[in-house]
Amino acid sequence: MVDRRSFVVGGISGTALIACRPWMRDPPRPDERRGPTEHELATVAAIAETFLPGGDGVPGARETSAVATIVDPSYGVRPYIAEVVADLDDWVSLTHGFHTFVELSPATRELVLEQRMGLHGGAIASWYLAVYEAVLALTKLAFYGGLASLRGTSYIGFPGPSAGYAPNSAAGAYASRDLPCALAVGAASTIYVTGEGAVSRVWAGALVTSDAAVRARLRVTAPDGRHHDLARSGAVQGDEQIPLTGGPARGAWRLEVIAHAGAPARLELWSLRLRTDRDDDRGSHP
Amino acid sequence: MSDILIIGSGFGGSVAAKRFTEAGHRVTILELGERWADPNQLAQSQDPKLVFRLLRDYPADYLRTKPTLRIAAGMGLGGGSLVYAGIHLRAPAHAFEHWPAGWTRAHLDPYYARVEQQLAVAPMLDTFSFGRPQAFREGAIAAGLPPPQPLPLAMQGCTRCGWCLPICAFGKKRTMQHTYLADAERTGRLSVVTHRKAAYLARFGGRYRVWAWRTDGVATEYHRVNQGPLEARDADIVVVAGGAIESPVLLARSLAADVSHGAERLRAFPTKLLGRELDGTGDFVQGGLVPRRVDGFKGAVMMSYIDLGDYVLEDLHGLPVGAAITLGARLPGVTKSWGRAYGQQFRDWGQHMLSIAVVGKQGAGTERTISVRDDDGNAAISTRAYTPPPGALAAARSIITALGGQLATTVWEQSGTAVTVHPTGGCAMGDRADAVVRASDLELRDNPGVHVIDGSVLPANPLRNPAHTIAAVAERALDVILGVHRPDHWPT
Repeated sequence: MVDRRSFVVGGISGTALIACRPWMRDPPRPDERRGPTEHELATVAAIAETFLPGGDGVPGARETSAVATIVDPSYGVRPYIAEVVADLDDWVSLTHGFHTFVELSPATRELVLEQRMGLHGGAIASWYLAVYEAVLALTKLAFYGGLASLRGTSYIGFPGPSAGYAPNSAAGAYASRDLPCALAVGAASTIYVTGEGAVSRVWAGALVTSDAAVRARLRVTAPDGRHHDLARSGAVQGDEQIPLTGGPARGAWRLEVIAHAGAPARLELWSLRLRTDRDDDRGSHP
Repeated sequence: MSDILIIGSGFGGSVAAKRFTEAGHRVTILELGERWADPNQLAQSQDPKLVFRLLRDYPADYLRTKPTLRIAAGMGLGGGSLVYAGIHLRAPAHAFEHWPAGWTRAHLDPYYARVEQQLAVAPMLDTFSFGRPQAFREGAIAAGLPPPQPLPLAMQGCTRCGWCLPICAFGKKRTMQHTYLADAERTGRLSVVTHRKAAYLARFGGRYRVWAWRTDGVATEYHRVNQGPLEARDADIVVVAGGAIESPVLLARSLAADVSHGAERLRAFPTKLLGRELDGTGDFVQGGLVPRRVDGFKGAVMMSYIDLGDYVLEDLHGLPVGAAITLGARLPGVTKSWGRAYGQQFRDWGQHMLSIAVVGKQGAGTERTISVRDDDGNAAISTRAYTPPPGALAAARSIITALGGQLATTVWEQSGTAVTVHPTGGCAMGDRADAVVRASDLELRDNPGVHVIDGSVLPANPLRNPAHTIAAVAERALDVILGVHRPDHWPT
């Protein structure tokens, strides 16, 4: 078992997300069950905002509620907040006159944190380096993990094009599982869509391969029986939006070859991409 | 109707559960982790509080000991399928060179097809409409490598958001829980008991008895759950399916267990190879910043691959949490992984980072060098790293540099640490007398009714992400066990 003292002395470097783990194993001592004081919370907030400052339209630790994540008892850092705040204030008092960390300017806060984390010149890192790194990890987690809000993740472009998808919605991309087959009139394939909602937008695509010129007409039939024809000429990859909207997404979507001219060819794969009325349709999609 | 007890619910145990229940048998699964179903949890699955409940790390004390090899394995109902990338690549024919007679790619192809049908495996037609695989393809062609192909993925209904790990935020990843185990539960003959770690198994009155610890603290205490009272369950047939790390140590513990109350230890079986000659399929990663925008966070976690024989290169999503916390400081030009500049750098990274995973064979002399042993109820792995396959990292780097990119410093370069999420071996099947399990039906030698069905039976690295091969091997073994298929050339 990694006890607290040996862990701190061991000086975990780098992977502070992982470093949360041994902290989580230690139950709080009775005197650590108290919540952080106002000063401690203000100091933690100042540390987090120095780690990831916001402003000028860019979200930071404040906007992503980093403090709430840092003091969440599940992450195990909370029992050590009082000690790391004292460590920081003691250092500030020693090096910057009789002040506390929260009283410093943003630039000085950054300098002080660099000193305590051994990043500034030849400064020796604090005994509590692992706690500083854990606070940094949790600050980043709140920002990049999309937990308290999606502001940080949205800023960096994550998650991807799925914004607005509803849980249990049928929305998503589906591909055939019963192909490939020779491209011939009557050849067919079915995609079974699961999930809820009526189709608000739908794209269909098919991959046809051949050694020579080929033309084909492929009919997509929705679960409600309506259909739309796709024209294919030569090898095609990609898809197009089709007007089979309004009906239920769930069910069997069928592709059938209704015309074929030219060289022998293979129908390799076809696919559907759906969005439904359950989703927020503002989400982008490639 | 027999009582079947399955220990573990990953790609092996789930196949066994489905097949045994559909054949009319009563099945109980003992699973170390928990059942994941709450959509609200799934939607926040990058939260470490959940990550730690989904993955086990070996060695458990890696923070202190800083080993040069680390292994992470999935836990929870569905096992590794909960946390995998959904990749289903068939092993190439030459990967079976060191497998026993009767196990070739041709023999396994029908079973690969069966798994693909069950898990709705299909390549994504729109793969190369995404920036990351597009850049990967253009870089590969410019570097003189074969062009990438779309990966076959078990992700029907994928929203392409990139939030595939550790669990799909939208529940679209076709895990074993959604497929094989759901089928088994529909029969009404499957009981699932979560939060149990098998301690040992023994013979008991013509049947088998399995003792298990309760693991209610598995979220953070998974390596210390071997305490407290033991629960016993009896069965006619026991399937050991705890994976390449846990299965060998469970069998080792069983041979040494102090059994009583009318139980007898398992009959002696060959142990020379038990817990030895394990392998990982990498998994090395080379990243870099390229001038063009690749939107690394978008699309599925891996979308395309280049087949280079002994290994594959796969374009890899840069998950924001892991990337922000573990890799940021190693990017070119980044001296401090926090501060005002870092947020902008990180956004640039999301837009311009191209990461490439190497999955496959190990460097000469370092294949099958991992061993695992029981350490007072825990699995202890050897921690000497293997090396990447020759030329693999150079090939990955050539793609990034061909795009005019700057290479990031990898974990392997910094510390010589190898990390794998794909351990295999440890109870290798074989025709030889010293093989732990029989090649035909994966029965533990000299212990009729005890089968090992998971990645531990693979005699050699499949040179690809192993989930597909493990499930296909399980399907084939179940055909033999259930009498559906009995090849006449296999020794019995």
